[in-house]
Amino acid sequence: MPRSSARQEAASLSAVPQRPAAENPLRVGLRVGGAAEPSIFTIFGATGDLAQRKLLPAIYNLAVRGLLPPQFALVGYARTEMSDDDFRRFAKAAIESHSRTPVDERFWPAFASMLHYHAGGFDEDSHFHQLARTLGNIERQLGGNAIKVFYLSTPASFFPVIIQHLGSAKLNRPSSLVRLVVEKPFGHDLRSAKELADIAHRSFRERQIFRIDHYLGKETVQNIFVFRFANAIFEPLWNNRYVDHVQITVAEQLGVEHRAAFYEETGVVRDIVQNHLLQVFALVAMEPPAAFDAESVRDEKTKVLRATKAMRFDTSVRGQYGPGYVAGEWVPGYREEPGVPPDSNTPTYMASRLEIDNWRWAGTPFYIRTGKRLAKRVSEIAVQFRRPPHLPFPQDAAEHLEANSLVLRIQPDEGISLRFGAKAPTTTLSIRTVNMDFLYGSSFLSDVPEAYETLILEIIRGDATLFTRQDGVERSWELVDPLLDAWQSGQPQIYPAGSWGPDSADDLLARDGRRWRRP
Amino acid sequence: MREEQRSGVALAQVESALSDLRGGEAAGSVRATTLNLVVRAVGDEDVAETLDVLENVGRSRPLRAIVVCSGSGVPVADVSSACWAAAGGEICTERIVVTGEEEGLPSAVEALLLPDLPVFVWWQGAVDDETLLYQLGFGATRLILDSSEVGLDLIRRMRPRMPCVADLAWRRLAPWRESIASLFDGRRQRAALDHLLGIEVRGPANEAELLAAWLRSRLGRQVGLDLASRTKVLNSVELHCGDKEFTVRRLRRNDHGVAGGPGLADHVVLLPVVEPGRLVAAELDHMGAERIFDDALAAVAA
Repeated sequence: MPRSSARQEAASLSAVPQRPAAENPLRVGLRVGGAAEPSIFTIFGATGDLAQRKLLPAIYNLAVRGLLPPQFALVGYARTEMSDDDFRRFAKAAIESHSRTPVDERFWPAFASMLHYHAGGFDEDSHFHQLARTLGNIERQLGGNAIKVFYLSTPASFFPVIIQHLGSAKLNRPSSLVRLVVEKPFGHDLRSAKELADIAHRSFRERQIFRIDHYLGKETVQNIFVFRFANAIFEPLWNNRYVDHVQITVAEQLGVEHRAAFYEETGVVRDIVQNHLLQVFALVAMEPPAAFDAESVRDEKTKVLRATKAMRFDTSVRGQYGPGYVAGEWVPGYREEPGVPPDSNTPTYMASRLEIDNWRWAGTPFYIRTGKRLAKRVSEIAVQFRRPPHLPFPQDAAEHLEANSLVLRIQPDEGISLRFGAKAPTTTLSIRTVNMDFLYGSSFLSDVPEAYETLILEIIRGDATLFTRQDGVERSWELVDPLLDAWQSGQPQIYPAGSWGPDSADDLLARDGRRWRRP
Repeated sequence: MREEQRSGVALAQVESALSDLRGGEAAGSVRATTLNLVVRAVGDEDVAETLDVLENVGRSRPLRAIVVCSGSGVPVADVSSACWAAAGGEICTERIVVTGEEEGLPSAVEALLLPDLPVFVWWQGAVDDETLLYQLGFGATRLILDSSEVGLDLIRRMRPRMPCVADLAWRRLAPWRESIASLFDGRRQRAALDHLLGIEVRGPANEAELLAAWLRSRLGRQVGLDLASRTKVLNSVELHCGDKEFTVRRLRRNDHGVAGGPGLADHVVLLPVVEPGRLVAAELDHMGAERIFDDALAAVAA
């Protein structure tokens, strides 16, 4: 969908009456955070890795927490021939292996009775007509008018054909009850993202499409929004007058693992930057929305992405990990990983300087970096404040004083840390930098739901706030496409595994008189 | 979990005793506190049971618990600090058991409350003398009672005099209300709700009355109540909607049950019997009055 029509669709959304739970007067005040409407959740690729590791455990945990609608059915769809009972055993094994809570044998029979299986391919119309009959039967058992969710948990190459067949089997109707869930990648560049959107929009309206970026389901990512807009003391400082620069780091210790073929096609920019990292960036930089609803939030995110300049070759750095030690253990370099060509130029690290042309952020750069096989697994946002305009202390008293910084840690040890100067308890005046830490887990000790639990529940409830909209996806591709084009040739700088990336990344900040934080 | 305690501490020494139990300021333990919870207990056995319950509550919601118990003499405290490894460090919550003459307990509590944090008061057992209840509950963020113990009438009387009163029986009914509401999500079933005349309940009298009152308040009209049998836990609810009948019933010895009615296949619903600690913990997540409960309370048959 072109940007303008996506916006028209978004604007018309507010006029579309939702199916309010309040139609049933007994629903008022109930199930805060839960879903109520009868629902059928179909997973395409139900025997795949994502379904086993994430989707089936998430749905089980939602059921155990009592958050699924009372009338709920899950339909697994895949090529493998198996019966409903076979699928139930398959699902149980997956949940036993990957769920954050163990299988409760007392509850299992009730949950298993909600599971169904439909064997079929992705490329034949007849299979989808059969699926329509199966779903129709289940819907009648649930009392009719069920919400139908179609979750594409397949390789991206199958998305177009599945979407087309859903349309031809009329499984895309009625639009108020049918939701299509697409996993990233949403294309591999701007052109393919538009093509995929065009195919999807032939059968589904934009508001029916839920594009999953699981990062947005993380509690601590959502907390960025709450931290900024539920507290009065930070937002007045959240601008170029007080903030010197912002650093966003998404660092992994893991290498490419068994995903060499995928990673060779993808690389760090498509895998992390175009989606996770730019989404976090947008949450940090966006203006306050009028309301915490899907269109208001996504409007503001898209607005700040539009105000951001496309990434430039001369202010970006790419790297690829070589052999080295990570946490004391020797690991091979990327080109020595199984399945990786010895002359691969796929970047496993990137850093870039982002500039936002708007009133709030003009002149305050955002530095982003992400990579594999880095020193530590950490995701954080560090807001570096400007130094005080004048220090009324002797120079030697404040020589170790650093500028204030506010660090929002997304993972691990989720929390917020504020760095400020304090007088050291000595007989002479000496100012030292100290940290004040808030640990998310110390104030909220209850189990934190998995990101997929949060997102699946939002899909059933029909709330798209935590999902990306097509205009935001397209703008993200516009920001990274120049780099993808430029980096098709040439070689990334090799950095030792277990380091913080290539030297050129340090030079990138040094040119601006700054340096990376050590997380 | 690491737990340490000290007995017979003068109230003025409670803070330093708690600090010592945490290992002093340099030990690196983090005192995490998000609320004050004042609990009324009767006798040593009740205090021991209360502390067991609080162990589970504190694990999910870091708090300072002040358990008050009537005795004789100037109030003194037993203090303990329970610490868990969490969030990359050690998280400690605090329990203070204050025993002394009843007249002195409210002021002892006032002196021990952590500043600026919400105050929840959980009153256990029957109410013999309402003075202490009023004194403890006055100014509390939320007063938590259980109509199974104090009766619905007392809760109705307390409600206008307190900023916020909660009933654990209402919280116990949450999955039942969910299940009953789910019967009427479909359009055909929704129409049947307009003909609801009365309900037949097998369960405790107070919970049956609360359910009927909830239906009256939501529908804005009279709904009859037939308590078919009194049982310790709620076992079934039948809703008579003209010639149509809807049912939610607990399966024996199980955490779930079955709900169904005309045009609806029987479906599994969660009906857990929730232990007190989790009920109280759930109440601690609500800071203000719950309008639906207040509406229902107003519709309880006098």
